[in-house]
Amino acid sequence: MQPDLNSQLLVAVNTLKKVVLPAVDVSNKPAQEQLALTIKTLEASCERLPYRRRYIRQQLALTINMAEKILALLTERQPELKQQLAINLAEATASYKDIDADCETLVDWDSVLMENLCQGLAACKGADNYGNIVSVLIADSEALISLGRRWCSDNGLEVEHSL
Amino acid sequence: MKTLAESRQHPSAEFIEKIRNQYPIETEIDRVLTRKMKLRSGDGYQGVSLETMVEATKKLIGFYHGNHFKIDNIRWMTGGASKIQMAFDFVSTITTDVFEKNLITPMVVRMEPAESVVETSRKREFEVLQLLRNKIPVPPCYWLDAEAEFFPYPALIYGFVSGVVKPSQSSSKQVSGIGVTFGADLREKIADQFVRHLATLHSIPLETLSTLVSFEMPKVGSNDAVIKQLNWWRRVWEEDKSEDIPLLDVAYHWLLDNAPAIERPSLVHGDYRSGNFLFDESACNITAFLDWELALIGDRHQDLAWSTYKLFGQIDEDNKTFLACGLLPEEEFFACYETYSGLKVDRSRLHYYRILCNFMSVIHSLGSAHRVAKGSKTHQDIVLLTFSKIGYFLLEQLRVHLSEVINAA
Repeated sequence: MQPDLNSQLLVAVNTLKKVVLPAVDVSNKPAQEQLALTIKTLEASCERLPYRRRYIRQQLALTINMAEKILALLTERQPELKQQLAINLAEATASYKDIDADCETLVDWDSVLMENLCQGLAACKGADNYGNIVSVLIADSEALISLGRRWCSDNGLEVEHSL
Repeated sequence: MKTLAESRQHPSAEFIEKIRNQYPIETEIDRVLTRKMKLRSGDGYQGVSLETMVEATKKLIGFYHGNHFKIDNIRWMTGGASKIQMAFDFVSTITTDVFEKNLITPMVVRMEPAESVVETSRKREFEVLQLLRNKIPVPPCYWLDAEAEFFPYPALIYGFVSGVVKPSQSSSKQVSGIGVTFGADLREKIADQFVRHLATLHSIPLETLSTLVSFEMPKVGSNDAVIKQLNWWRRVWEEDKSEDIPLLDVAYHWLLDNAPAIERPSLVHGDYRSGNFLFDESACNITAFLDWELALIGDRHQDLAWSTYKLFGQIDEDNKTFLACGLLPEEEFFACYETYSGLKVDRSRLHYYRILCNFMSVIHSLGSAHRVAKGSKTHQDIVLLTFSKIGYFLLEQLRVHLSEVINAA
């Protein structure tokens, strides 16, 4: 359907740039700064909009992968958590494989698994498997964080020497 | 599925109490965080007009000072990612038998929005500014509206101090004064003052701090205060998060297990960095340190870790040397600090506080900034949204730190 969302956003950005920005009082620094950031945010959103579903699916795939490893580390001393995580993992995986699943459902499953992982970590504190769970979380978070950083790369604040 | 984000956007009284009980913190911090949660379901930030600000300013000053004054030259101020600021001239008239003269004192109102990226106490800020007068450069602080009796939100009024946060020719357009480039000439003069004033701050005798009645004094030899601070930020995360992050829980547990006892309590600024002080470009003098809202009595290594945080630094023109806050190499910073303060920099404590600072900054960005912007709670939500996007970058720093300390254990 025309006009598609991307075209609508681009027209809105162009209007802000060509008409609104020049009309803002140059001495009004807060308004100048915030309008510039608004335009930048809309432009970044335009670029990302076509990839939103891919991003969300990739994120869920990484979370499922991490959750599977944690599930394998939970012992019979954490039976309820283990069972809950197994059930949620199965449902999240089914949603991931369902090509008709909407983005919100995929995001919700990602949140549920993350919550389960936090509960698992808290329950295992002091237990023998805690160290292994921590190792998995540290190692497997890298790919998830990297994905988040790429998605938010328009922040303008990252500096190479900071890592 | 009721999402985690929704339960925090409209928190029940039980939810608020549960988190309060789970994470015990200093009384005054508890008061402001509880207030934040009780107000969360309410309206977003309603644009406050200059007229409203002027009326409130007149009422507050009139209440404490009497009504023999005028206010003039009223304007909004930019800068910072947290509070609403209005500058004005306070004009009082001196009348004698022979003459009448106007006395003009430039002032600033600093008011909270409906919810801040860091929810803090104006009362604590007021007490610290009163204490530090004539000790290090700070703005004089005149009046306080801690409970929003006069302004739409809690506020204080302090003296306007001239100066800039970055050189006027600076190309930096980053938010919150992050990453200030000073240039070789300026930084040499500013760096020395920056370190010297920090040393002075940390050396203030403990007995002098008794005027800080809204602060709790840490017990020497105990890590209770460190754990309370850790709980402060953990509580903020629980209140503000929009999603769970297991790695942040790993960090919390590590910080809890490794919290060092405080050997020598100091007054800590909490956000001591470039972007948070004003300087006179021609005289090359620091004219005022700002943003005392995160101040606490704790371990001085927290300020040292924050000031040398990589995010706030710059690489020298040689493309090799890292300059803390864009001012001086880290080792030079510590050597200079030790000389001025007579206090040692303990590397292991420093490392602990680097991780704590990193933990806090992830919470500010991925937790609070995102929550506050989404709730439309401030006068500059778009600035906070932009700031929130740096969260994953900070989380990666935290991941690397944790990987090092946990693998080393």
